[in-house]
Amino acid sequence: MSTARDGGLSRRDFLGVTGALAGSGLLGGAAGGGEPPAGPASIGPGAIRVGLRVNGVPRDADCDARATLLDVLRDGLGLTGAKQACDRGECGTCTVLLDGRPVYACMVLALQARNREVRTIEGLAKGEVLHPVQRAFVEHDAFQCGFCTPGQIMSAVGLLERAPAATPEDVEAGMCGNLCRCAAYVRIRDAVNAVAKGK
Amino acid sequence: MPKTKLRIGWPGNFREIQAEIPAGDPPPWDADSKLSVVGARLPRVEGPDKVTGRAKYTSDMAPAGMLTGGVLRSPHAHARATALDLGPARKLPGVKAALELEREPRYAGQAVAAVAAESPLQAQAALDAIVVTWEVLPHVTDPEEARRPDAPRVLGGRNPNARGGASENAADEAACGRALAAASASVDLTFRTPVVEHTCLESHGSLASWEGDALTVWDSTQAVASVRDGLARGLQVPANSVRVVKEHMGGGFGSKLGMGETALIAARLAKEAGRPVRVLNDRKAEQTTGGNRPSSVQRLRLGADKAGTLSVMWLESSGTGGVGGGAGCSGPFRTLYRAGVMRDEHTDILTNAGRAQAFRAPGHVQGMFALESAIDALAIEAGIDPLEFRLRNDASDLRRAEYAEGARRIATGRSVRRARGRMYRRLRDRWTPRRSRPGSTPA
Repeated sequence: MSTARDGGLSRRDFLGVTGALAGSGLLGGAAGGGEPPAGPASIGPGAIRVGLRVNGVPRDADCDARATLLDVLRDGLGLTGAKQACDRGECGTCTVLLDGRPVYACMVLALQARNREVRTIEGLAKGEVLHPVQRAFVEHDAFQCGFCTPGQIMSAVGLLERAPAATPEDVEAGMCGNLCRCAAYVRIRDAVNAVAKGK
Repeated sequence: MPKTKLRIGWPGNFREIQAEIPAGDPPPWDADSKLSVVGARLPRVEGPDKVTGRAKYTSDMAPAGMLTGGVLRSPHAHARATALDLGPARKLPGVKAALELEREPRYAGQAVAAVAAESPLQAQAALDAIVVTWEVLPHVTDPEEARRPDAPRVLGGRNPNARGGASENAADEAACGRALAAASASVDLTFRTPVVEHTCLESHGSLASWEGDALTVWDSTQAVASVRDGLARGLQVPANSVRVVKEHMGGGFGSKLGMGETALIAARLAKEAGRPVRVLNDRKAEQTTGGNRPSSVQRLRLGADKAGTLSVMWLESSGTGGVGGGAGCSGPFRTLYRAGVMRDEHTDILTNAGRAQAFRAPGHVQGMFALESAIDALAIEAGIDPLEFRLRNDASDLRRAEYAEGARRIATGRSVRRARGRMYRRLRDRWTPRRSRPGSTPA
């Protein structure tokens, strides 16, 4: 899934930019003197305010301009369902829905999510009533350690909202961006297929 | 002790035994026990927490006032810090603690110093500000090079890089050679397996918090008691002043059985800062320091007689678990089959690389791959179907029964459970037209 492209940056561009920042001593705001960067108006180095819409609720967060959506969800808003594991757009444990599409939240800058609809695992259940995909994961025992599970479920929800009649082949393709190190893949596939209408 | 009659075994091979059970112990289960939980389809009790994001892992814990720990790691496989100055880091905004850990790291990634700061970015800035001058020292990362007499000593001094020998009761080499010469079929094969990393999705990490002399550590661990004991030893404090908490863990696979370095670092930083400190491995640190399965090189020489019975088994193995951790892989060799003449010898090789940790039945993955591949090859040399060869040679009655039952189910494509039935039918479709040569099965 080309999640990073949804935010307008390729994965390579994104890692290049953040990597260059890390190497240039700019982290921590200790920028020192020098010319301001050319191009569009710069923001920072102090904290900036990002207005997000998370699970239908407007949420403001103050963060560094380089903070990822995952940083803001976890550290700023205390929504720790999306996990950080690889931090480089490979494993899918941080998957959330951005305007309905699954994205790796570690590969989206918080700024890029401004004024867009973010949905996380915390927004799925209605009180104690689980979302059908959540219920299917429990019924099919589609996890062991559970660390990848929120990301798996958000990928599945994103897929099934786009394609309620997803076939088993659609499910395999739609779920291929989420790794499970405990290798519960067969049960994850069974759980998602149980909710999908396509047979 | 009271005696209890138990019926044990497997279908077609049950027997009764008299077992002595200590007074007060519950009766053991046997073939006639009626079990209501084991074998039943029950949802996990923690299921709803895990599918809603409510389940809290160590990396999710963030108490008020928590600082972020960062670790400076060696860029070199072996080097000495001729200068290591934490002063500039301590002066930066938000930095509350800094520790020197090691001036002569012996693998790339080894922890050298640590800081704690108000935010992750401040912690990173502090690590960048640490002044360190490295003198790169001789090192060796290739296990074959490490065995040479002139190789740099990984642990320094006179510690040898290679240690090992033949196991107890091993036949001598001459006897093995004679048995191989007399065998009617034999193979001499060498198998190599690489170092493999656990790659837990949740990295090793710890959150430490002191209240007076009492320490509480949330740790991503498979063994809270070993972390408690490790902390008590490392900090020189009584074990009963240390509490270790783990509710959920994002994968361990053996690499989290002992105390990881983050626990001790977090506890020391928290002590100095007077605030809770969380230290999480980033992905690079996890892959270089979080543990690994050692490599292996296994030379297997096997021989069988005319009847297809193993007559000689000879394993020469070596492997590296970096700066520590045994690389032995002879478990399957010593337990699966018997032969009249058996010899296994193993050499652990130290290299300047991250330390091995237990990984899913240590040694058995490498050992099983090599041994079973060699058994297949020997069966072909002997002109015997590989399954039949195992049925003739396997040392375990139970395993022979399992092989036969597996073959029966595959051949009939039937199973008590529907899902398994599908699996067996798929296997049957590949099994029925197979020829006995490994690799000849149609894909």
